[in-house]
Amino acid sequence: MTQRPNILFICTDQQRSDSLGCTGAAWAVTPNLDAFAKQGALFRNCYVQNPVCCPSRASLFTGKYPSNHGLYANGVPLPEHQPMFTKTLADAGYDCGMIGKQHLAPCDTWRTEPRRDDGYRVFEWAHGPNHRALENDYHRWLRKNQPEVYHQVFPDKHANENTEFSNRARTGTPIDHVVKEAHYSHWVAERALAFLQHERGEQQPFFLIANFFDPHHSFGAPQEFRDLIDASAIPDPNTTPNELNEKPAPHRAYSEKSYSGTAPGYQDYTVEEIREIRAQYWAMLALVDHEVGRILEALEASGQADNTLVVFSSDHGEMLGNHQQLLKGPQLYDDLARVPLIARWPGKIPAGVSLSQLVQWIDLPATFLQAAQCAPGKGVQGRSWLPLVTGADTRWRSWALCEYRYSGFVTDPLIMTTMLRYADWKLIIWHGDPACGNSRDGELYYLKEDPGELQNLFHSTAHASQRRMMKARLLDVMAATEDRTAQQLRPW
Amino acid sequence: VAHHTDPDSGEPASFSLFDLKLDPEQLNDLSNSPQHQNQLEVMIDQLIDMRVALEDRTEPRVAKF
Repeated sequence: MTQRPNILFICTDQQRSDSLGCTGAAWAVTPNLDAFAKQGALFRNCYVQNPVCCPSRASLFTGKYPSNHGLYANGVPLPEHQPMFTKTLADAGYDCGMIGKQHLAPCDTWRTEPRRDDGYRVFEWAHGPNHRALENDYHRWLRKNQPEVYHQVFPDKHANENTEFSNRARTGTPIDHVVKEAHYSHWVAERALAFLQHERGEQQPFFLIANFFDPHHSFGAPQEFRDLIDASAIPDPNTTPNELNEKPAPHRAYSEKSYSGTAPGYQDYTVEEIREIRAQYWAMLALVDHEVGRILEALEASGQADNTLVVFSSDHGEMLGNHQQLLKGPQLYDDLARVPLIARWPGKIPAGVSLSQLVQWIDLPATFLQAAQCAPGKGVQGRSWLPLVTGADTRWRSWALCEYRYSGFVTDPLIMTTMLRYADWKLIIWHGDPACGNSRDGELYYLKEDPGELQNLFHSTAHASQRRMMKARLLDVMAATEDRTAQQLRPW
Repeated sequence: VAHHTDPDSGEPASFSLFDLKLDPEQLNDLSNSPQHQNQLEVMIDQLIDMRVALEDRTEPRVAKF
């Protein structure tokens, strides 16, 4: 066996694919990630399999589509029998760690996420900066290192007493604006540094997942980073005045209020307030970039960088005012379904390549397992993209799938949507009876001419045959993605 | 009836459509009949929604998030 690489997976929460300097946001202050992208491969079309946290992360850890892993909605625990790839890596001798938010189990109110058969030696968990579980390791760290900051933000045990506090907040909350040295994102980097510096055997590789909460709402960053952002350079949201009339009816409700009516919506804000939200979003990303820079520097200093596969991505996107909406939900625009993905592995991944192929988040565990020279994980439906980046795999899949099954806050009737990206086309089905009581409707976009997904061609007579063909392709993809991992041992 | 293809093959699924009331023996495939195209698409829509309805969502949702 040749020397196995370390694997460092840096994952943000709610980060849009187009939010970095290297992915088109000229106003972004992301020098470290932009430089990092030049040293590795930049995937321009990476799709997550669900647009909200829990189901998307369950797809990461199991390598399965939400319709197969069973965690179809936030607040549903990942079924016990579903294995995590981190356990496979640990069984193969990897020293595994998780820092930050994981979210494979319900975390509302003050719930503590239980450990699973996850294979981690290190599990430093904090669901979010406003999450006041006793087991919140960020709060423990903050109480120890900056008690005055902690007590100022949380003056008593009843303040901000659950994470809905930050969902309801119109702007950043106090904990979002604390100085860098006291911030959740700084804590993630500090703990990642400690993990990297841990003494382990010569032959023992590590796997670390460092989970930032930023740039998840509430929208606020330390002033030091807000000062780096030129709000006037950020364009106004991508929309047209009559856009919502051309879209399935629930889009209007999600414009009025976010999170199925439980959080402020786009229409609750003035134009100026939306601009400030966008500025704060990129300020949070500037902070993330700064902290990622520190982690990469520490990796370099440890002498391990040449033998480490480093991957950067996010669990889903953020509407950010585009299409007259905020936060996330059943919408399967690229705003939510497409995420950044950058991978660096010196000598194995060519530096500076940019790939347009459609990759999916479930490909990550397949890639990690292949890099670690492990057998493909049991039930992992994704595909390693290592042969793709080296050019060895020329027959990559031509489609990507995203499934929403009342996964965010519930509505009556329930909402279920499915996205199929196929070549330059995107079909989104808003399911009806017998899946749910909603009216059946759809969206069809030709991304080559309409990358902003403003023109819904679903009801256009001129595009009826394309619509029909995409529905037929969706049925093919649904059949192809069924869980048929059990082996057929004999003909009958 | 949907006749699936490998989604990477380039060719999408083809279909058979029968009117079981008039054609209980399923001898007359209407999938290419111009006046049955709307009916065919309605049945494709129903098949898509039926597949979603039959997914395994038995794990209880115990919290909002």
